[in-house]
Amino acid sequence: MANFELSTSVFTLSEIQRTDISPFDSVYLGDPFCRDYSKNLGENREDLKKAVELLRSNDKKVYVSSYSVPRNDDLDAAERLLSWCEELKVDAVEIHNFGTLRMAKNRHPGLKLFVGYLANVYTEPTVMKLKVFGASRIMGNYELSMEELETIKNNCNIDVELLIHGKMILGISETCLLKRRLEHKEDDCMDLCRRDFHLVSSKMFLRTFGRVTMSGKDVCMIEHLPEVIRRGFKVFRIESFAENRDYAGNVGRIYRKALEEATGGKDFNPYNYLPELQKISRSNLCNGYYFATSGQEYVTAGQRS
Amino acid sequence: MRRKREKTELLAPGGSYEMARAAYDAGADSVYVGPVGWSRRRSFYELSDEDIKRVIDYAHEHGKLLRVAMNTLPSTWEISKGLQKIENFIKMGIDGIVLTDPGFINRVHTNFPGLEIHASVGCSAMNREEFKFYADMGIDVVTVPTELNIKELKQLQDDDACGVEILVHANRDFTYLGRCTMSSYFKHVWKKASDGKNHFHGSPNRGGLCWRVCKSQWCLTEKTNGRASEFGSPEDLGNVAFFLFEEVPDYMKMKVDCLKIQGREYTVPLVSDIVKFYRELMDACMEGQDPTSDPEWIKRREAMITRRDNERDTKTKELLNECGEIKTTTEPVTVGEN
Repeated sequence: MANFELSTSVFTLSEIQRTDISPFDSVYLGDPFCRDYSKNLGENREDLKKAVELLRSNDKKVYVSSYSVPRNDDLDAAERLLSWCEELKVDAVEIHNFGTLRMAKNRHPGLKLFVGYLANVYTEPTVMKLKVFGASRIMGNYELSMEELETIKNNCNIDVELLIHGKMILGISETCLLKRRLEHKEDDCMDLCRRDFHLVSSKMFLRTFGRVTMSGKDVCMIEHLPEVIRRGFKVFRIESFAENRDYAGNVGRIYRKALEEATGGKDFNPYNYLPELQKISRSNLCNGYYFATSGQEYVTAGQRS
Repeated sequence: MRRKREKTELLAPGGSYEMARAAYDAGADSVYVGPVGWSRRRSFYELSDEDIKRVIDYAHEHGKLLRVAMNTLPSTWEISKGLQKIENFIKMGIDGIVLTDPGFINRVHTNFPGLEIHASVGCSAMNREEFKFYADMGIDVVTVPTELNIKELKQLQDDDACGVEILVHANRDFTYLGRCTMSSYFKHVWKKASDGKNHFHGSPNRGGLCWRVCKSQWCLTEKTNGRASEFGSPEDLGNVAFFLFEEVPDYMKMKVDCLKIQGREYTVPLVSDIVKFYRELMDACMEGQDPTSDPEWIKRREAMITRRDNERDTKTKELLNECGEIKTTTEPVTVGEN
């Protein structure tokens, strides 16, 4: 049994059906950014049920992501999703909103609760309070450094999940940028966000998914796996929802093998994997904020030692 | 149990001692200021502890209130430093504090139970369950996200879990405020000062300074089969300053706790005129009048919007110039474009 957990997130039934989930121990189901997207697993009980069954039959843990920015009118849907999760006996619900967390704690005491990266978790006192509300795993805000995350993990005695590869969410908006810019008037957004849209300025290159804006570069921590493991992190996410259909499987296989080597006391050479990850990523790589730099910078393992 | 206000409070910015004084003189009931390194503005618009003491003295001489904004999301390592700072401010006589981090809020509430705490707009508290969560933490009043509509504001006001504070002069960001790291993705420098305070230069959430990269010109492109096609002409992502007017009589009827003017980065004469405008508007509403269709009032507001937009455009250009191009450390081999 490996002493780490590797996870990814998938938003729709058709996407989970065509994703190679074999490298992963667990999968987060549902799009936490947009309630208007009709295929969102978080909005469709039957699709969610099928996705849960598919993961179970593959012996994977099942997590469900709830909508990250619910207004008052969205709370009934949040409650509905929590009920489905209870009924389908999922392994945990990922929550990005403190209101939804409070509801889950009070009304669904049987559910295991994780707190996601959009909840803006920055400090140890906050994590201690979130534990009182039932949180057993957190992802800090991406702006936290590796050192801060390690302090929180150790002092709060809680699982801290790290984005280990893939794009970071840099912001969530009230409305869809793609519908606005493309003057798309119909309610049905016709998979707009599934197309390969980017935002380009003289300063930066970003990926847009409509409601969320994402880093143009992929976070890549392959070179830093020894440090990550030395610091005691065990739960890792590969963010693949805005990528092509082969991305999750290809990147997942590389990290599964690399993590097995790096945690198993075997020789681990990240440079056996880095060129392939660069090829898959289609853009430059970065390390986010883990080393207290700008989010888009890349720091080599040599610079860390 | 939170203290109920008898009337709606007009809360104004204090980007300097002079601005705070001018805001009180123009009719603000209260002013908020940020201690250096702890509020959602760069240090130029923050105050030294000595200047905060001068503002407190001026406020109290004139029967007004002073609120201290320590609404950055701090580092875990500086929570105790923040608590010491707040204890010192309480000794100096502050009337309230503005915070964002839920755990920090709860520590402050536990240590100083009599201190009124406002939840910053950076919390993006947007639903009634979240208001209850912040009430659990010890919050008295929540500054609501600019996206909420009148129906939602009324629901939150009626629930009364926390008081409602509305931004009447501020800007609506491209993203929900407090949920954006575009600026620090572009350029972020973390420095530890000799007093142990962490400064996160370029992160609005953690250090205040935002490079406003959303205000540069962005082209939407789609990649298909390795080719990129552009849609429309480049434009900013949407970050619009507003100056609410027609809505104010409704807010006054609702008896919301607080109307807040943002703008520590504007000039003192402009802030003074904006405060005066809202003071007179609120007083008129309290006397049962509704001046929002009066051409004189409309003209006065439009003139101030022009001044405000000119100052804001200049500031945006300065920030975009200042942040320049990114200097990256060693990068792996470039694959694809960026």
